[in-house]
Amino acid sequence: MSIQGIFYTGVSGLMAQQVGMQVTGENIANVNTPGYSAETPVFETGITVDAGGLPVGSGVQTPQITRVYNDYLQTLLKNENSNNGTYTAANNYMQLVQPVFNELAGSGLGTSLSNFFNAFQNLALDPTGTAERESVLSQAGLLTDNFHQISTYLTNTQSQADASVSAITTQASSDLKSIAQLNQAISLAEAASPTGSQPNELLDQRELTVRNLAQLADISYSAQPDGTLTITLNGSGTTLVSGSQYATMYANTTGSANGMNDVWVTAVGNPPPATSGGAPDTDVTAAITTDGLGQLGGTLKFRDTTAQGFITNLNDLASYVVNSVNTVQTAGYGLTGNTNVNFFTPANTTAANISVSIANPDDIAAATNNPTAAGNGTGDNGNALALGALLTQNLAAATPYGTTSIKGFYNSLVADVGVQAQNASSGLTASNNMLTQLNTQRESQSGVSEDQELANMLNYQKAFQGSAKVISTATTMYDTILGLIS
Amino acid sequence: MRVTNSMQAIQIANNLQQGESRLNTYAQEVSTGKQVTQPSDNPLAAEQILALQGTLTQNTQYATNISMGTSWLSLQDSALSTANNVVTNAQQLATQLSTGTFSATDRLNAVSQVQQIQQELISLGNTQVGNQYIFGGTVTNAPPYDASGNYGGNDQSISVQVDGSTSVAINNSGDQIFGNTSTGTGLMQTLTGFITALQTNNIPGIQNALAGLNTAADTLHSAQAAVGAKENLLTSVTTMNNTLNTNLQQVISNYQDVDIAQASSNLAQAQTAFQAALQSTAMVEQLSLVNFIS
Repeated sequence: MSIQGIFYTGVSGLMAQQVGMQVTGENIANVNTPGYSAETPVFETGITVDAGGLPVGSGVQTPQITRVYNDYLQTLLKNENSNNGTYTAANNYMQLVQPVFNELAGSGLGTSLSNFFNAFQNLALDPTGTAERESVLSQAGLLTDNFHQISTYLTNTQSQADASVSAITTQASSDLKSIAQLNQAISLAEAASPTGSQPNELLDQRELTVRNLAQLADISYSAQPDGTLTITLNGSGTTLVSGSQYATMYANTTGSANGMNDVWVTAVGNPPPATSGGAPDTDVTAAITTDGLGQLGGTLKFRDTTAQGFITNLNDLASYVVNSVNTVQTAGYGLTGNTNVNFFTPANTTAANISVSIANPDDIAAATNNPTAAGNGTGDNGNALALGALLTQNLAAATPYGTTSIKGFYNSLVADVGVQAQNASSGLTASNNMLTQLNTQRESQSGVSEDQELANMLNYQKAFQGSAKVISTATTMYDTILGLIS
Repeated sequence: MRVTNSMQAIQIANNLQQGESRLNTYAQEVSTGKQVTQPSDNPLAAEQILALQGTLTQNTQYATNISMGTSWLSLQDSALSTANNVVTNAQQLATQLSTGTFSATDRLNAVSQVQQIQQELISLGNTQVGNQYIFGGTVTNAPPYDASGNYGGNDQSISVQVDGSTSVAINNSGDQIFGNTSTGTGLMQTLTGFITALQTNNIPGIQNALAGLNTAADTLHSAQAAVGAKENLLTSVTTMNNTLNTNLQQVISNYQDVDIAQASSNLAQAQTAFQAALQSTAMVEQLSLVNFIS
C-alpha cells in the first residue's frame, strides 16, 4: 500500500468514467440510427493487491462494452419483414390493377358490354333503321377498344412486375455482399480482441442488413463459431453467404417458360463467379414462387399467378363474347338476306386481339328468317332479340366462376380483383402493425433512452470529479510527506 | 417496459398514421357519400352493386322497348276503332240498299261511296309508326296494301322484350283483320263483292255482303279487344318496371351509400381523437432531462 497506489486507483476511475462518457456520447449520437443497439460499459473491480496484509482493490477496469441483443426477436423481425415484403409487393400491384376494373365509378368494360348488347335491343325495335345498325357497330368498336385497353394495361403491369424482379435481385445481391464484408470484419475484430469483446456497431449493421434482405427474399441465417453468419435462401436451401464468400442473385430470361425473368443464384465466392445464365448457376424461380415470401416472392406470385389469372379470365370473357355473338349472328339474316356472316373475327378470341369483322351494317342479322325471301319481311327482329339477350343469358359451358352469363362473369371478375386487392391491403396493414409491434419491442430492449443516457452522464461526471478529487487529495498527502523532509 | 426514444418515435408515428388514416377514411365517406367506392372496399357488396346496376340498365332498356310496343299498340287501337266506324257505315249502307225501297240507280250511285270506304280501310291497313308499317307482318318497309286491297305483307309476328322473361307480340297481320283481295278473303273481298253486287243490282249479293260485313265487324272487335288487353299488360309491366327500379335503387343505395349521420359522427370522433393524439405528442416530446441540466 502506497500513496502511488491511490494515484493509480484514482486514474483508473478517471479512465473508466471517460469510457462511460464515451459510450454515453456514442449512444446519444446514435439515438436515431436505424438498427443501433444501446451500449453499456461493463465496469469491474481491478485485481486485489496486498497492502500490508490487507487485500485492497486496485480501482476499476472496463473489459468490454456490451449491447442488448435478442436473437429470438431478430428471427421474428426477419420473418415478419419477409411477410411484409410479400404484402407490400402484392398491395402495390393490386392498387395499380384495381382502377381499370373500377366499375363502381360507372364506366368501364361492364358499361361497354351493357351498351353493346342494348344496341341489339334497340335494333330489335327497328330492324330496318340505319342509325340502329350503325349504333351496334360503333358500340362494338368501343367494346373491343375497351378490351384492348384493359388487356394492354394488365400486360404492362405484369411487365412492370417482371422488370422489378431484376431490380430486387440487384438490391438483394448488394445486401449479400455487405453481409459477407461485415462477416469478414466481425471475425477479424473478434479474433483480435484479447478480452473477446464484440464489435457492436458491426453486429448492429449486419443484423439490420439481414432484416433488410429478408424484406426482399425469404432467407434463413445461422451463426458460426468464428462470428460469421451463413445465409441460405428458404425454399431452395441455396447458400447465399458463407463466411466472407457471397453469391450473386440475378434475373435472366434465358430458358424461361413464359419469356419473363427467372431468378438465378451463382455459387458463393469472393468475388462470386460471373453470372452465366445457366449451369452451374441455380434457377431458384420455382422455389421462390412456391415459398411466395419477400418482395421477390410477392412479385413473382403477382406476375405469374394473380396478373396472369386476370389476363386469362379477361381473355375468357372476350372469347365468350366472340363465340356467343357469332353463333347467334351467323344463324340469322341481314337486311339484304346475307347469312352466315360473322360479327367478330372468329380466330381472334383474346382480349388483346378481339376485333369486329362485320363491315356492312346491313349484314347484322336482326332477322330470324331471310327478309328477302318470299313471305318474309325486313321487320323480322327475332334474331336481334336473341343477340340482345346474350348479355344476361347463362353461357352453355361452365366458366371459371361457375355457370353464369357474360355479365355475371364480368361482375365476378371485378369482385375477384376486389377480393385480391382487399387481401393484399389488409394483409399489409396487419403485417405493418406486427412489424411496428416487434420494432417497438426491439427498440424498447435495445434502443437508446436519451434520459437514461443523460442520467448516466451525470453519474459519470460526478464519479469523474470524485476520482479527480482523490488524485488531488493524494497529491496534498504527498506534499505533506515531502514537507516533513525539508 | 423500458421506454426509449426510437420506440417512442415508432409508436408516435404509427399512432398518428392510424389516426390520419381513420380521419381520411371517414372524410372520404362523408365527401363522397359512399362507403363502397372501389371493389376492394367490400368485394361482396361490389359484386351485388354491379349485378343490381346491370339489372337497372336492363330495365331502362325494357322501358324503351315497352314504350315502343305501346306506341304500336295504341296506333293499332285507334286504327281499329276508326275501321270499326267505317265498317258500321258500310253495314248501314248495305242494310238500306238491300231493301226494295231503293232503285238500281240508287245502288249504282252508292258504288263510289263503298269504293271510298274500301280506300279508307286500305289506308288504315297502311298505318305507319315512324317509317314502319304496322299491319304488314314483318314486311314493315312497304305498304302492305295496294290500291285494290291486295295484301303484300306476311303473317309473322314482331315481338319486344318487356321484362326478363316476357316478350310481347306487338303487331297484327293486316290480312287477318282487313282481308286480302288477291286471295279473296275477309273484309276486302266482302267490299269488292258489295261493289259488284251494287253495280249489278244484285240484292242477294248485297245481303251476302252484309253478312260478310257483320263477320268483319266481329273480327275488328275481337282484334281491338286483344290489342286492348296487350296495352293493359304493358301498362302493368311499366308499373312493375318502375317499382322495381325504385326498389333496385334503394337496395343499391343500402349497399353503397353511407349513413351520413353515422359517417359525420365518426368523422367528428376521429377528428377529436387525432387532435388529442397531436396534443399529447407535443406535450410528451417536450419533456426531457436535457431541459433540466444546466
